[in-house]
Amino acid sequence: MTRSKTDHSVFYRHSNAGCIYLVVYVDDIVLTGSDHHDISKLKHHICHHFQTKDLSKLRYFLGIEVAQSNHGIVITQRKYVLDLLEETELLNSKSVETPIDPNIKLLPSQGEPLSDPEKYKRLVGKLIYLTITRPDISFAVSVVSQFLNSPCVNHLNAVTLILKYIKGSLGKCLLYGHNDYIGVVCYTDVDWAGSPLDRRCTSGYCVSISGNLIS
Amino acid sequence: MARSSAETEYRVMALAVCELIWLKQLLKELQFGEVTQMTLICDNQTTLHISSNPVFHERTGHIEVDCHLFEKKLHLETSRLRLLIQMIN
Repeated sequence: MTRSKTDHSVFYRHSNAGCIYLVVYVDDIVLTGSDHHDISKLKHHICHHFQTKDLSKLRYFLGIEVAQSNHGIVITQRKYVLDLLEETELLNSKSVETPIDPNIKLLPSQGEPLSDPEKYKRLVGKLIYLTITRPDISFAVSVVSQFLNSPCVNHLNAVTLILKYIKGSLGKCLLYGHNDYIGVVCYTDVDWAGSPLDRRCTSGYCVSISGNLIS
Repeated sequence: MARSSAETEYRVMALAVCELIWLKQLLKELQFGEVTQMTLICDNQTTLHISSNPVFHERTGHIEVDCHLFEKKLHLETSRLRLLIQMIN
C-alpha cells in the first residue's frame, strides 16, 4: 500500500486486478476497491496484526450513516440529528422554513449574556459537525459560531432557529449518484463588506465532481 | 478589510483554486481518470474582465497576490489545468 501524498489518511494500491483504497480515521478504517480477492487478503492481514473487528458492509462511520442502492450512495446524519433534537428538547417544536432570519444582523454582546455559555458552545460544535452532510446550514452555523466566546440570548435564539429548521428537513441528505459526465465544477461567491461591525466579507465556494457535491 | 468587490471575489477564487489543485492531485494519485478541465464559476463582471485582459493589471496592485496565484494557474492551460470562468446570472 502507498500512502497518498495529498491526503495522508488515504492509502491506495493499484494492480492489474483492480485497486484498493483504505481510509483511516484514528482507529476506524474504511476499505474499498474493485479487487475483492486482495481486499479480503488485506482484511486478514490487518486482523492478524491488530485487534480489529470486521463490520462487513459500510453502514455507519463517524456518526454518518451510509446507505447504498442502485441509484448511488446516500450519506446522512439522521440519528445524530435526532439525538441533538432530543438533547435540546426540540423534538416536538414547530419547524421553520429557513435556518437563519435574513433581516436580523447578529452582533457580539447583543442582549443578555447566557448563564450557561458551555451549553451554547457544545451545541454549536455539534452543529458544525452536522454541516458535513447538511451544507445548507453551513452559513447559519458559521454566523452563530462567531459568538462562541461571549454568547448572548439572541445568539442562542439563532441556534434554536437552526435546530428548528433541521427538524423540518430531517429527510435531507447527500446523494452520490452515477452521472455520465466527469468534470470538476467549482462555484464561488462572496458578499462584499457584509459585516455591520468591521465590514468584513463573507465568502463561500463548493466543489462537485460529476454533479456530486464533495466540499 | 477588502476595499473592492473584485478583491473579495479574487480572494475566494484563489482559495477555491487551491482546493481545486489539491483535488486534482488527489484524483490523479488515486487514478480516477484524467481531469483535463476544471470549471470555476464566479458571478463578478470585474473579475472576468481582469482575468481576460492583462492590461488592467497595472491598477490591481491591491489584489496582486491572489490575482497572481489565479493568473498563474489560468495561464497553465497547456499543462492540463484549465480554468474556465463563466458568468452565471
